[in-house]
Amino acid sequence: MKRFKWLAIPYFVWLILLVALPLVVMLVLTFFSSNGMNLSTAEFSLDAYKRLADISILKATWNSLVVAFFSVLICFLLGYPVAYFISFSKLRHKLLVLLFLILPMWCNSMLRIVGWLRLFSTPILSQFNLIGTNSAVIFVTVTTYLPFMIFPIYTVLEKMDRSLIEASKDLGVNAWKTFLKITFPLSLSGVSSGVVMVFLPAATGFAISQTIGQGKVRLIGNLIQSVFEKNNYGFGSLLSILVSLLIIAIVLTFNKLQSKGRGSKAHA
Amino acid sequence: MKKLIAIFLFLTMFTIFASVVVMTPNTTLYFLNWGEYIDHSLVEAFEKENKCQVIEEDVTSSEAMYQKITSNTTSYDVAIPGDYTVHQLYNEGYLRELDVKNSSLTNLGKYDTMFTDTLSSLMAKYMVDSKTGEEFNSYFCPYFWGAYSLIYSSKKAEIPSIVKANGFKALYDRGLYYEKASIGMYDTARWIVASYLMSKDYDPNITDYNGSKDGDLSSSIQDDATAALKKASFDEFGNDSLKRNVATGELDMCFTQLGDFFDVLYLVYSESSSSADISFNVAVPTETAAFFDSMVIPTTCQNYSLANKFIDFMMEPSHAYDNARAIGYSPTLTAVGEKYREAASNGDYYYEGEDEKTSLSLQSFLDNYPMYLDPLNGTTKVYMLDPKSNEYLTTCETIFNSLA
Amino acid sequence: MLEKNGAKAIIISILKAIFVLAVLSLMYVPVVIIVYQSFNATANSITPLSWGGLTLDNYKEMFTNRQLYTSILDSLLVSFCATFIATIGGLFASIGINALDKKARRTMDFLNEIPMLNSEIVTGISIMLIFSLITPVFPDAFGFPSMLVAHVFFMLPYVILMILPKLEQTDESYFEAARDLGCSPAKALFKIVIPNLSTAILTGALIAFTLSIDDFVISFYTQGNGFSNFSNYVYSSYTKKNFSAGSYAFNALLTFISLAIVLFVSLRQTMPKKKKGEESL
Repeated sequence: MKRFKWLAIPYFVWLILLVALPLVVMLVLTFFSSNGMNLSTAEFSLDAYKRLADISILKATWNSLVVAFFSVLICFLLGYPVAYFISFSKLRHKLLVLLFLILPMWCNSMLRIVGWLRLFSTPILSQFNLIGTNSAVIFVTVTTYLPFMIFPIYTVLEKMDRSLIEASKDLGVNAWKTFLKITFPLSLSGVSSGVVMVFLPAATGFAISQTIGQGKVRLIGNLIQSVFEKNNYGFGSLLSILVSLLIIAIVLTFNKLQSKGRGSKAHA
Repeated sequence: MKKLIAIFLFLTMFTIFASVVVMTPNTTLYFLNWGEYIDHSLVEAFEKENKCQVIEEDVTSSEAMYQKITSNTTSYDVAIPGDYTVHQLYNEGYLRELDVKNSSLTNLGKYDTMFTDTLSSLMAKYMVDSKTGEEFNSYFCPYFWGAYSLIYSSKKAEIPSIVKANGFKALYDRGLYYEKASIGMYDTARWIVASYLMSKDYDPNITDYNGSKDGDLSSSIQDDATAALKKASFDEFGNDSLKRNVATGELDMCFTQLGDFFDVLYLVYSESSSSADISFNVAVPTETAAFFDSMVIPTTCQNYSLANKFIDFMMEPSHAYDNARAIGYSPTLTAVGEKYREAASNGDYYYEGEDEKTSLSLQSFLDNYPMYLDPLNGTTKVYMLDPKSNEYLTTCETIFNSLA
Repeated sequence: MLEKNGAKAIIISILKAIFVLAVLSLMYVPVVIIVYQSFNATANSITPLSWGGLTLDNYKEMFTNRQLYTSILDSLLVSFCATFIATIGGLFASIGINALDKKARRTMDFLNEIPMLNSEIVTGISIMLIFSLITPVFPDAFGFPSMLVAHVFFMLPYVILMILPKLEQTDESYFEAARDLGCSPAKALFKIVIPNLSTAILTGALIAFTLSIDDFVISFYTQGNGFSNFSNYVYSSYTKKNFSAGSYAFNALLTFISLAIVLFVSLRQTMPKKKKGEESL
């Protein structure tokens, strides 16, 4: 089937056009102060880079990382046990239970966020002043992206060779140790997929922080969106590039740590 | 393979169906507006009369409107930007002159004379071509106007007097209150900075304390504004939600535009069971900024004659009156003011409920709220916001962001 | 000893079930609210979630409110077309990538990961910038074309991610055999290789469709000329009083339909099992 190599070429061109080219355009834009994309009135300027020093960017980035971290953590603490319990249960219709978990996802996510907003605004709950707090934003992020954590972990757990666990039990290892030494390490690839799939939207999204945060929770996504709205494409592009680099760095580091862990276990 | 063909057939049929429903062969008018800022029954009447489809898109700030018009992602035919945005669009050549010499468009033809005196003098002062010194009022038709004001709740006894006595200072000086007040602020960064400057009795357009209005915001003003905003610690940043939250009592006051008050006043009347539910009011500070939103035709317009017909339709006094009744912002046409007074003397109702308790007559409405027809009633100093550069707006944005 | 373990095991099972149900109910709270609002006569009242009486008017609004049904149809149109294009495109791209030699393969794998690793906001902005460059020449580039391209763009990596592993596992000997028997390469591809991948293709298409119909950020930046996503409609109108309660009705309907499909599929799977006594799931 080697003759079909050429089929990869269109996709390669497509990726270059829509991944590499925009990056170049964004990089060029960072050096100009222009009115949107109206390049005829653009002037060379390093204004975008000067604005990087502003403390609000650091704050927004820090906020985003905090929100994302806690969202991922809570998703993991809730999602892993759920995936585990379902996968290792003796239920005949495991897939059914899983489908029920994924069903809310077919309800539009934006509308679900509005649903939470309405709930938090009812006379009973508004006393707790949940709207505008980081916690509320984290909470809604968790309920929105939990299936993204559960699904990859469940898939990996299902594919796992149960005989290893059986062997461990036969050798007298207790349930907890079996889990820690065998099940969990083998499920790490699913965990890392889940973590990445929750981390990305949690850190860079602006829908939840704008709806539930109501202007008091400003994440880096909100900052980028409002900067582009002010027609400042130069500064917005710079922020977008930096966010991309940061995200890729975090994800690659995470992947490396996780594969290192697996590597050392293999030697042991 | 058969499955593939079946799916493809389904897709083709669905595409045809959706296209027929969505992309009509009728002429379309792309209309950029603020949210809840036009009476939709009027739009439908216009569509019927002209056999067209009006596709409306909403924004929540004048800056967003500017960005949408200049970004070319949609070819808008009509837009309703704020005053300083109209000025900026005109300066940068994004506006087309309205068809004011068209004899069939009777209302457009009266563009020079049909607006109220107070508004006309504001226009003559600010909407002037920087090169020729001439008014460019054939490029825009003021649609609604008003002043930046404070909507406050009267549920707490101390609030009304503090607001009426202090104007915008009531937003920033927490020391005025005995009990902690919950205050809402608009989420448009530029207006936040303007509200701060006005609370300190400055012209909201200055970029430096020496009175200069050019360039980017000076770092001294930036730092002071940031510090003041942090101290003020607003409880909510929003736009349409602010007025509703004051009406329900969740917020004690908010900074917003005058018309928002009347909008939510009508809403509460229509939902409440007694006029005692009206526990909120509006105050226009003696020193404030005025604003007016105008209908314009951007250069991206693809249907010039239809766009002019639309503006002419909305400027027809009877239509403008219906629109004003529906939206609640102050009308710009003198003829509409006259219609209000005429209807009030005829005994018309502002809101007609089931009994006297739930109704409000139009005459009482006009008496209780004289600032409706005359937003600058009682003001001593009135500013108008100037067009500002992208750098200035981005700096305002960074101030806003540093609060989080 | 066994009995003690039995009781303990039952308690643990119950605790596990409670945990799963608790998490499940947490995720269903907004769904319940949406269904509740879909029957609520005062869905847009000033006091949120106040019950104004049972009504089916909200469901009627799906057909009368033009802004609403336009956005729904637009969403469905983009998602269906994009899924179709992305599935077919992804299938052939996977076949191509699978055939590459090691070095090229590693590059393609890396490039393919980038759209998935890139945050949605950067992807949306990237595509918006590219299309902004085209608008001087094609003024109608924004709207359906830009959204279609954007959706296909972010769907392709997922489709490829589903199909490529399965393709790697395929035994090439079947393909070789077909060739030896005189089949042209294309015929062998369509008759042998592709049907073998049908589950992977279907899964990829399903995932792609789910991601597309729910998308907000990317559609936000690629909308235009009156064409927008349902999520964009909700985002721009949820604070306004003319926010159509039909949106709740639409989603409630979707939930009922998907619930029905899930129950139907599960019933079908259980019934033959009882009859035949054995079923390979």
